[in-house]
Amino acid sequence: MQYNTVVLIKAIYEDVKVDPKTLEPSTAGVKFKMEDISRNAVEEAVRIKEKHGGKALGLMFGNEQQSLIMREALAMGLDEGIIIKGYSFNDPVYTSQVLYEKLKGLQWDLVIMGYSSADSYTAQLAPRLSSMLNVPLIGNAVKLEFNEKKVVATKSLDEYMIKVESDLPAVVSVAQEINTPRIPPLLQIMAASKKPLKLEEAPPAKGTYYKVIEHKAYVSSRKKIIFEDVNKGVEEIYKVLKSS
Amino acid sequence: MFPFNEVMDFKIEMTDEHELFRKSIREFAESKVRPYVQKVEETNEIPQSIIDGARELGLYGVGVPEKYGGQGGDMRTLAILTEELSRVLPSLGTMVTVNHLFLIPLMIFGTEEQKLKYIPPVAKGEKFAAHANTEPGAGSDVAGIQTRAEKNNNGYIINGRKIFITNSERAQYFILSARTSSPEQGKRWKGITTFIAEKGMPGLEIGQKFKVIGLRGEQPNEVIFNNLYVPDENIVGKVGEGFKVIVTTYDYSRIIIAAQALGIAQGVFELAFNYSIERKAFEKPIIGFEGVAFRISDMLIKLETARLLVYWAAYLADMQKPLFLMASSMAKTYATEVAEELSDMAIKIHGGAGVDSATGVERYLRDSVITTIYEGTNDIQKLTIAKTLLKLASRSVDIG
Repeated sequence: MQYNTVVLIKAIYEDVKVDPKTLEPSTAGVKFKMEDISRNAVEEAVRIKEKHGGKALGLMFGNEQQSLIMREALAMGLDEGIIIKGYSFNDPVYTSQVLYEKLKGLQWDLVIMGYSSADSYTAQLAPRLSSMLNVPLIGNAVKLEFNEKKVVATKSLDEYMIKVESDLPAVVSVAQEINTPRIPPLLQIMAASKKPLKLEEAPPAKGTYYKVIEHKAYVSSRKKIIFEDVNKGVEEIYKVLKSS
Repeated sequence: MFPFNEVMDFKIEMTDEHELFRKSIREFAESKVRPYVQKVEETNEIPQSIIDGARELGLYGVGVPEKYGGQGGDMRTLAILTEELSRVLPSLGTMVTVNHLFLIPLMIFGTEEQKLKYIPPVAKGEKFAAHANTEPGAGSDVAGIQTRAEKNNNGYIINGRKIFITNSERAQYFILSARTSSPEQGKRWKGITTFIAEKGMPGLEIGQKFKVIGLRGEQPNEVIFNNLYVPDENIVGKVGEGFKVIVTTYDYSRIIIAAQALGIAQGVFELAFNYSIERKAFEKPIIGFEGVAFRISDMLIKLETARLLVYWAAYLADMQKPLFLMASSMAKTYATEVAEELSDMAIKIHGGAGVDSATGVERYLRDSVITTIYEGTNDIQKLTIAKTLLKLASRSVDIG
């Protein structure tokens, strides 16, 4: 049996530096990369396709400038990509609306995504989409198998592994442990440039649901106490720790 | 702009595929190669996991058409591959791309039968290849080789000794040069023929391993031909015209060497810059002193100048522009000199830590030396550049 998958891919800043004066993230001139767990989701979709057949489509709410990231996902093995333009900042409510509008018009057995994204870690997208699409949700999978019209997922909890089974279609979010993403070879990179990549407009937002009030780096201040007498050291350190 | 013709001659174009490929190689080099760099230094051997990983990623087939089992790609792709590997481990850059000294002459001069037989196993990484030209008495002076091939029935009997042959321990296939007739008066280059030989043929022996500085993990051997019989169908190109086969190979391969040097320069630049912002002296990072700041800036200027020359030469080669011959000599000479110079500067910035092998800077200096020498020494490149200039100016002056 074949399974058609849609993988949700996010583009995030490659390497964010903190401005030492304002303590705010500095993104000027920083490149985008494929979000880390999205990469695992892409790999999983490609493996499903290789093992069972079916189509794997990449879907990204992003911008035209990030099309190289979709090309990379195509080089990893996806069949085609759609970028919905108009992403401006992290707003899980709006993002889920945009993706829902697109997903309801597509044919799929499985929507796969990272359980959370490595820039904001809201982990809201999978549950929101599952509820909007009215299909079962499997979160944080570390293994995916299929049994005819059902998906069997192993989920990792802190001390247990649990196996769950769900009807298809379903929304599945995966954890980073699920696989090691492949590095695309030249042949696949060349082939990817011939695969279809569509750019579409996002439906307008109905409002702003999510507002960032402050975005600052942690400040760790050191006490800078130096104990010079090694013999007294332990005692002195004990005093300082006790009093703080 | 003599000897170039128009501003368009200075165009360099890179594509999305080049960038995606660069990212792939960067990831491979950082995750699969960097953890073993110190081990390669200690054992003088490239681990099998890296050799296999390169095969799985199709690296041996880069620059080879799909028709012959390759991955496709052009000179720019090959330059990117070599640069990114050499940035982490220059000897791996050599190991992966030295096959091209066999593949390039076959692709340009080989018969269809030779191509179909010998290229796919090498491009797929199933077999390795070596290029046996240099001799104790001749290297950059290709016409000066002494190895002889005598006609015998439907083939040739070859006798001679080749030195500094990279990859020869691993190689299954060899392309070799030998004299099939004496040099003509005024035309020393005539009378050389190139042949393919396979390991296992009686009379093909791998001799001593040379202890050279640098490129640990990929050190060359001596290759001896002791009444080696090679059939006529293994002649590459025409009998007596092997000189052309060899020098045409170097026209392309010296872009690969230039890219290796570029990778070295990039590697040491990053090390030096990071050290200059982390290391403090007199209570501030050492880049806060002009002596270091100027050095860092000079390093960057030279690094990016070298990069432009290398990418430019590769682009001209891809566009089949005749001036790529000169551009590739310029790129090879400049980039390799910069690699050596920047490695030395990086050591100076590191001070005492720079000469400690654990820091990982000094090995780049050892690795850079050979880049100024192999595939036509830089002095030879400069002679070629001057000769080409004279030719373009329609002047006849005897040089070299």
